[in-house]
Amino acid sequence: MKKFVLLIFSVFLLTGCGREKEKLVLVTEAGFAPYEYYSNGQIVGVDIDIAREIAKYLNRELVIKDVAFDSIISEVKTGKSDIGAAGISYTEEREREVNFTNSYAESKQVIIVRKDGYFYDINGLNKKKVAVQLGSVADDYITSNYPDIELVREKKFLAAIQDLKDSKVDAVVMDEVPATKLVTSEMVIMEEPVLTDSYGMVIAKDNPELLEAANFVINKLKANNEIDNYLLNHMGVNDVKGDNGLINRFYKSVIYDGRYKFILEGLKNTLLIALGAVIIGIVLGLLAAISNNVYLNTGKFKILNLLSKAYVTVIRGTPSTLQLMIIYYVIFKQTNINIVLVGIVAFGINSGAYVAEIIRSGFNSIDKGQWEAGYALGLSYKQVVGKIILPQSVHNILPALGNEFITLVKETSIGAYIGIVELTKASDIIASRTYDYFFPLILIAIIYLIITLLLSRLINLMEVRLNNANN
Amino acid sequence: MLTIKNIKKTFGNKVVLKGISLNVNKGDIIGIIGPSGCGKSTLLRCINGLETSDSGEIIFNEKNIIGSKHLLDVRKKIGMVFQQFNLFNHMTVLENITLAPVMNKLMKADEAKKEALRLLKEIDLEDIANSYPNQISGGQKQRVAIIRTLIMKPEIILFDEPTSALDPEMIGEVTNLMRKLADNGMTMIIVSHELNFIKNFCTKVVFIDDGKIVEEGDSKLIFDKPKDERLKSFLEKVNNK
Repeated sequence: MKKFVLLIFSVFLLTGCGREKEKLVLVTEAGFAPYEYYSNGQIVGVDIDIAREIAKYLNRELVIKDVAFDSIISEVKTGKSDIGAAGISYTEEREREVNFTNSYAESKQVIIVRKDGYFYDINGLNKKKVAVQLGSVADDYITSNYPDIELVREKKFLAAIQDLKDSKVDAVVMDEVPATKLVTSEMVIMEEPVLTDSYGMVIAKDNPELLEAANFVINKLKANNEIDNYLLNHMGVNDVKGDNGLINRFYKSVIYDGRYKFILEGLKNTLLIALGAVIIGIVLGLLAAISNNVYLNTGKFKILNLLSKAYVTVIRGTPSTLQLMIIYYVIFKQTNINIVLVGIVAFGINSGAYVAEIIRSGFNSIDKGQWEAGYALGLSYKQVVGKIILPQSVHNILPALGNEFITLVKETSIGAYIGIVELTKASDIIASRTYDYFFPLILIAIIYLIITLLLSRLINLMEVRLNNANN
Repeated sequence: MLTIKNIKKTFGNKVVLKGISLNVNKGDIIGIIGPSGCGKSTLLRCINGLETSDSGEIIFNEKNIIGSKHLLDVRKKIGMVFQQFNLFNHMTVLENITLAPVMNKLMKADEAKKEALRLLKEIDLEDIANSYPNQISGGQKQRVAIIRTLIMKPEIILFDEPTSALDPEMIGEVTNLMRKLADNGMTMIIVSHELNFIKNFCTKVVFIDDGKIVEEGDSKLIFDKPKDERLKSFLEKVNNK
């Protein structure tokens, strides 16, 4: 156990340290080619190229953070990241929160329909189902101007396209540049744009120096036509020749461009978070359960008992996604802590509450006579718990604890919300390059299944050993 | 050696003990009888502090043990045997017996083991030393429980219905062991429904009804010449069963 904790912490030391050069943290959502997307394990794209120029100008080291699109503004606002770039359009609402740089790209919002379906202009979409990316320009624009359009808000524009493919919606509205890369042979882009728009980067209001520097670099790049060059460079880089057969799709999803590396990285983080969290969870759970039991039996630890009761109630009564976001955006707001460590802490705190209840029920499952026999022999509360109650509880709660661990492994998938590259996020990254969800999703489903099957096997073995010891 | 003075105990709004006083001398074997729910077991559990009485005094070796800081030390001198045996299920017979003397630092581990085996051998139970409680019979469990108490060298042993959970053919092996303890001069207080056993075994019998001692005295007198009406009807009911 001790060794393991050391291992975890050394991993953070290795990944978290190293401050030779001041950092410029760019926050983006890498699933928006050609502006930001993954290639060969790296986030690249037009926005990244521009940000790199800004970092170079400032003599700072560029660090890229990949989070959900809706989190970008708050990342910048809270100072967790210096600059946000993800094909972000100007809106009044956003300008109230952060500063925009000068525009570096023009974009058109277009309508995509199926060739075999009806062709619509924006007015023709009234009362129809239209898929957009949640929080995108199209989403904002249609929500405020066309309230009769029934919007399907997808986390990713890829999913929006998939909806259109599956005839779940009548049209998709999105940015023209990625649209030209996304449309399949069964789809067509309507010529008339819904809206023409321009992209800027976002910077916190209290950082005018950075805004000035970014504008200077953007103006220079625009004057030299560099940004058009970037755009051309990033068009078509992710095309793999070949048919749409299963083998080729598998090749594209897993092998091409080293995409399996995302899965390995995701697997590593998923396991690291689950194992770290289970240790924190058991420690917290034991603490909460024992303080409660001490209070009930001796009347001591009154305040600790109240605290642990509040802890268990709050954690069990709120969604874990919310807890994760609160811990990341509120508690670790200003710190530049390793995100995997945030995951371990958040999932550990979450798990601890459930473990506390499991241990409490384990205590309750022990016959009162066992306590009394211990006391009658002159043993103290501590001795009775340590020698008689806990050892027997462990046996009773092992299946429930095992379940909790299995749940925890699966629950780490929500780590993607704050940008942890765990298994689910890894599959998402791959799909954002291949526009094909099938293999990445099936593959990680199989990996989750293997992990949980191995875990239940391990827990069974432990139970059998404990049973043998008892019989 | 043990004096109980006017102890009272209430659970919620139910008054279980309404002021009980009892004097126990060294070597006494006291039987406590009475209808179900009369407070016999509660009285026994107050003596070693498993229940805390609301008022009164329990004086053991010249010290009041109610609310005493030395309760843990007192319990080492007052053994208790339970109806349901309460052996520690996750420990072998040997571990059950040696746990308390070792934890209480009365003996070293090897001494305790030697002593436990000696005590087991005296009652021909050395074969089950390494068995777990769920592998042995009820009669064996209760005798192990008695030895688990005995190894602490108690001055008194409290028996709370020691034979009630046993199959009839196993009662004898437990009562025989208790007789052996009596022969060695052990002071005992026994709560039991086995009236024949109480009558033949105890030096003194106490009849409790409704939280009070109704009649007490020499065991032969209590059973053969009961004075109080409630005792008479209690004995009749039990005998007519």
